[in-house]
Amino acid sequence: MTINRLIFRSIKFFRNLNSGVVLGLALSTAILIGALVVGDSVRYSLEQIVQQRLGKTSQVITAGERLFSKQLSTGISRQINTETTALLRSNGFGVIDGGARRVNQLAVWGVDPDFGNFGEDPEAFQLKDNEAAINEQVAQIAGLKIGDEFQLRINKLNTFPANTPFVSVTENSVSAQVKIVRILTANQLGNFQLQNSQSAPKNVFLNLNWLNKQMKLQDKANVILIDQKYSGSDLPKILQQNWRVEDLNLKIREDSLLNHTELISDRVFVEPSVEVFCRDRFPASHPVFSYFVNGFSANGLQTPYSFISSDPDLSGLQINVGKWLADDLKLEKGDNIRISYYQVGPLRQLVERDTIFVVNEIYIPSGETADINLMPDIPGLSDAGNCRDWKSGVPIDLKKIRPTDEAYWKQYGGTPKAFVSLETARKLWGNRFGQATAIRIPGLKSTEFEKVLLAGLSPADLGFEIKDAKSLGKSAAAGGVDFGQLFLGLSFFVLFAAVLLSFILFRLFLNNRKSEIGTLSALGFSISAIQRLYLKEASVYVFFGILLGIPFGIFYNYLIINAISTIWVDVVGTTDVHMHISSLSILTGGLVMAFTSLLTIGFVLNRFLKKQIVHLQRKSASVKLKSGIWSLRIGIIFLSISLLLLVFKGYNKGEINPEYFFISGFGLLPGLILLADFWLCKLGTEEGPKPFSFRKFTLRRLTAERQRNILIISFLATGVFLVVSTGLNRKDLTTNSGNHSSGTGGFGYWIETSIPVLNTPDTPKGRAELDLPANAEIVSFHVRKGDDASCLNLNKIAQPEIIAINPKVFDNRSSFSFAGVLDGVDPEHPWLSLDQSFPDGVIPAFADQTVIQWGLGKSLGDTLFYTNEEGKVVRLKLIGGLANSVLQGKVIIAEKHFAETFPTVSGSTLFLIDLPEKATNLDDLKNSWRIFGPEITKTSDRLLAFYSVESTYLNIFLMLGAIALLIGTVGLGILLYRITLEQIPEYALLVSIGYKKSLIIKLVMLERLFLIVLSILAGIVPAVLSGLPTLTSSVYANLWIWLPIISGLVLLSGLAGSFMAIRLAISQNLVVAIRND
Amino acid sequence: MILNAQEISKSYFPDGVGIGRLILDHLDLSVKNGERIAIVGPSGSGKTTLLNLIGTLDRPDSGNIFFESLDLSEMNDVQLAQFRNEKIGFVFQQHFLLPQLSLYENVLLPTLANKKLQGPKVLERAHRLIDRVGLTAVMNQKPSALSGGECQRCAVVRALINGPQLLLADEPTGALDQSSSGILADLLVELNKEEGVTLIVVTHSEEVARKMDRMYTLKNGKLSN
Repeated sequence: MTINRLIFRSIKFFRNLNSGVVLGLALSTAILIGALVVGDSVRYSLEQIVQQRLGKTSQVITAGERLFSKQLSTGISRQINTETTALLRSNGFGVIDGGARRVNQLAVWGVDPDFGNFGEDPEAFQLKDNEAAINEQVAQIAGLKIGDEFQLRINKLNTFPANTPFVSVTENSVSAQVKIVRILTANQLGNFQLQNSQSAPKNVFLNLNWLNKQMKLQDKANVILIDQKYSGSDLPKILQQNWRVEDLNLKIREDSLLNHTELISDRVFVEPSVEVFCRDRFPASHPVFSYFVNGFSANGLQTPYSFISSDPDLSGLQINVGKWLADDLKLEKGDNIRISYYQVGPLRQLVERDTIFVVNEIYIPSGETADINLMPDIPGLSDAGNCRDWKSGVPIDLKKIRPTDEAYWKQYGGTPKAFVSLETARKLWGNRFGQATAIRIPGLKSTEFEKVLLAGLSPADLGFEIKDAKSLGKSAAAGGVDFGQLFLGLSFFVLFAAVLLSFILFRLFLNNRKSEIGTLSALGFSISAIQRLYLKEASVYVFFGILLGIPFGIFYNYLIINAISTIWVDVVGTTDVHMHISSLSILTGGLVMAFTSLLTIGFVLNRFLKKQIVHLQRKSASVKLKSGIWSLRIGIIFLSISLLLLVFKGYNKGEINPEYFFISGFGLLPGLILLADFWLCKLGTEEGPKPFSFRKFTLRRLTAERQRNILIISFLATGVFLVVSTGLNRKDLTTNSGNHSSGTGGFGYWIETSIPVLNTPDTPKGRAELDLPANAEIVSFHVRKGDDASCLNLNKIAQPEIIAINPKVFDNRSSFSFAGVLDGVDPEHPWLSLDQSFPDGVIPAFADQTVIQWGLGKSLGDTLFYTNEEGKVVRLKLIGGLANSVLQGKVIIAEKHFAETFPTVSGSTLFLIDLPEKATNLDDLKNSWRIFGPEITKTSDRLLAFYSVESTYLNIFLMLGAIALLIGTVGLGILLYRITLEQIPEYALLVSIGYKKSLIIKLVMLERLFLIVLSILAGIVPAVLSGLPTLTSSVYANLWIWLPIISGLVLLSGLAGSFMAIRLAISQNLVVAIRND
Repeated sequence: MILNAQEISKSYFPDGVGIGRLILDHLDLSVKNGERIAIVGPSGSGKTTLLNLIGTLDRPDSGNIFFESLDLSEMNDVQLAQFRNEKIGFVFQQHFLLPQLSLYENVLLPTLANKKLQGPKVLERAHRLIDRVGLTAVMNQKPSALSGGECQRCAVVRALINGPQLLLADEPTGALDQSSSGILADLLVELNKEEGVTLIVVTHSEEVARKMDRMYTLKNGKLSN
């Protein structure tokens, strides 16, 4: 006989008892491994989504608002000898069945067939004419199928920003009937998108050439994809070597007569970075600033709508006037002349101003002064045959145009009628788009200029961005929410219950081997030797428990993955989550379980062995009776504090304060447990004249085990309280949603349009155009597209979307509340702090506190880095965190900083609307905004959508908590079984004196029923109190169901466990218990 | 004749299966009303088994036990429980008093199983019997406050509370010192006479056995005088 043989024999002999320990350990292992594998699965699925949304794409070249020639892609491909493809990305919305159905926020992609090579189906994008391929998401949402046709309205892209002054935007969208020829799966690049998001986009793919044609463009694109075969880092250089002037939206023209070469821009104004480049490389170059003014007036005469240009030789308010204008206004040298003009404001806002100049010279146009090319190329204006055909982005009163003006236009076109100093021109008319309309270099050949320009300009300076989208996507996916940790947290109670169950079983196992321990001790085994022996034996159970737990864990993971793809989909925002098992997680889970199990078993063993020695010294069982007066006193103190808190703090000025309800409930729990203890004490000491009855006998049994019973009550009541109260701890974001300080800012609707709104709607005219009441308040946001950093996105986001507003609007309304602000931010007017200018161009910014903390992993005072369209690093300093708001996921800055930093971002696609009158409802809004393809949501619904994530987590917690309670009650059942076993001699006695077994069962069950009901009441009453604000909310009416579910679950499983225990005990040969030998 | 056991056999199967160990082998026993019987024998000879069969806590493998004219083998478990409650009293080596109940409550414990036995008469009887065994002063005490002898006397009263016709005592003095043992044996004899209850005592003690009318030795599964 060896120790190992003894262990083997013990394992074999006690196999039935041990199987319980093994099963308990298996359950714990399953939960641990299951949670870790959930983390693996979500991480893997996010990586798969990155793979699916990008296909074989690795690096991506984008150009912001700029369009370039698709041949740029071909040139790059040739040079790097890797496949590339050019795409034209726009937004749009679909009108189906004549408007019966609409699908907004569509991502419209113009693609060449070779785009298919980036997915798994090279034939997927063989599209011609108006053929469209849509992804499954669009098909599902819009109910479209192959062969269907629908009207697609697309945001019309131009080589110039839509907000460019003077450019007409009468057609900022185009519409076409498209026919669905393919519904693409994710593997066919159906879910292609460049944003780091796990949610499937709403994609419509069209033939690139056809889309160009619809937008009156030719061969234009704004995205280039590079195949993953290319891993080089010299793309900026390669891009530079392949681009042409037209790709930069610039034009070079040589004037041999005037002997200069000129650089102009499709965007009317030459970008500052290009101007700086020319000035540095060609010192002889000089900028030209030409502007369209509303009119000249002098001597009581007026000349309407004319171009004016700059002359570097002039200064101050001097003006050189052409003979035609001088004659028209009867001007002489030294006369004053008033010029009225529009200054460019935010969006397309124009402010009319005028300035008085002094005539310096009256010239007869010749040479440069007669140069029609001084007029910038403004589509709709410079190309018009006569004045009446002008299509300008500014209001033009055609009545003011005289025949003489028409005659001038016909003869000289837009040749400037006057010149002012460059400095003055820039001061008056310079704007966010640029400070020059042309750069002229005297005596330089265009070919030479082009060569220098193309080689010298940097892609970043022109807004080209080259990103390794695949790597960034994978890193965003890997760095996001760790579902492994999350589910470990959510499963905490289940894990705890399972571990507890194992150790209750192990304790039971030891209890059954008391005599063996005594024998070993009597035979000379030391405590440590016995401990080692049992620990060795236990490690075998731990090993088998873990081994058995692994498949259980995989099954548990399977269940969770199924749940988060269906009923809990809110927490992941995608149904595309697949099981992925990592051996590392299994190994980690197994090792952690082994370590903690053996550690705890060692501890239990040690305590048990020591206790056994004490137990041997005890003579006989006795029942100590206590008055329980201290339990009563302390219980009443708890109860009083909790009720006082509720009365004085729970309701504050008519508003419910959920935190105090929770604290109050939390205080009530120990109070009730202590009162239960007092009651049991009282029952135990009650001698009175009452006759001895069955009821009294039951109560006597209860009070005899008072300590143990109070322990059971405490355990169950605390479990019930924790699970129910935490599960009920929801926020009702709708109750105060009308308040300006709430998360809605007091706005009723959140509108996101598919087509940008170029003119501000917050004017009488704008409101009238949108059929909004005159007192409706509309806030337009300028949007710099970026990733969604809200809790709906699982990826780790570094550059959230930037939105900009006029801070005064929110300040006047005192909209939203702040969870925290940096020192220096005026707490009374925090919004105005956004208008501050920090040193080094740092821009102050706000974001939701939750986004700052969790989405970005930052804190107040930290800085976010972006690159703007001129290649400059933009630094946003987080100076305030908003309390839960509809702005979650975005970073908010002041519009003045936005206009300076992102000048070409045109129009607005995001609005908040406050409609004081109830007359306008959601349908009215949808109808009046329909031309912009709006996605309109009530702000309270948007808040709830964000909160649905937290709410779903709480639902998961409730469900897992219920399972934990179930396991806990199994543990309780085992505990009761142990108690039952200990009481067998008592049952045997009752049998011997004529008690029927059914009567004994009744006795025990009544006792257990009493205990469980008391436990549930002690747990559920405080839990209901703590969750009362939630339960009384109309939003969470369905949560009441959890109360009977959890109570029923605990009651049923507790009673079932008790019944099985007593049945098992009674079915034994009880007589053995009272045998003498 | 109050009890007539005919040809009763009982075997034990330690592993639940296979060949059992024969404890009682076609054993016969007849006991007259009011008689005092002692059963002695070596450990493991089957004395407690025989007592449990007589007390209907167990059933014989074969043979019949008649209580008066009642064939106990024909009764189901529920009937047997009621039979035990009304006709049989048990005293064990350990007193098995419930620690949470007072002596008085322990005595009344059997009455809870049978409503017919509840009422003022039984309470009066309890008081009388408690007084009879000299425990009136401590009747409201819990067992932990009493001596072993006092507890065992209380167990005897508990066995007699329902007015049984047959009192079965399994080593009633086994856990007591010599003095307490003698007192208890005398008490059993006196109660046999006073209450007219038939007494069967299983004992190792010759002193106790000698106080009975008849003494049987159980050996090899059979009784002999």
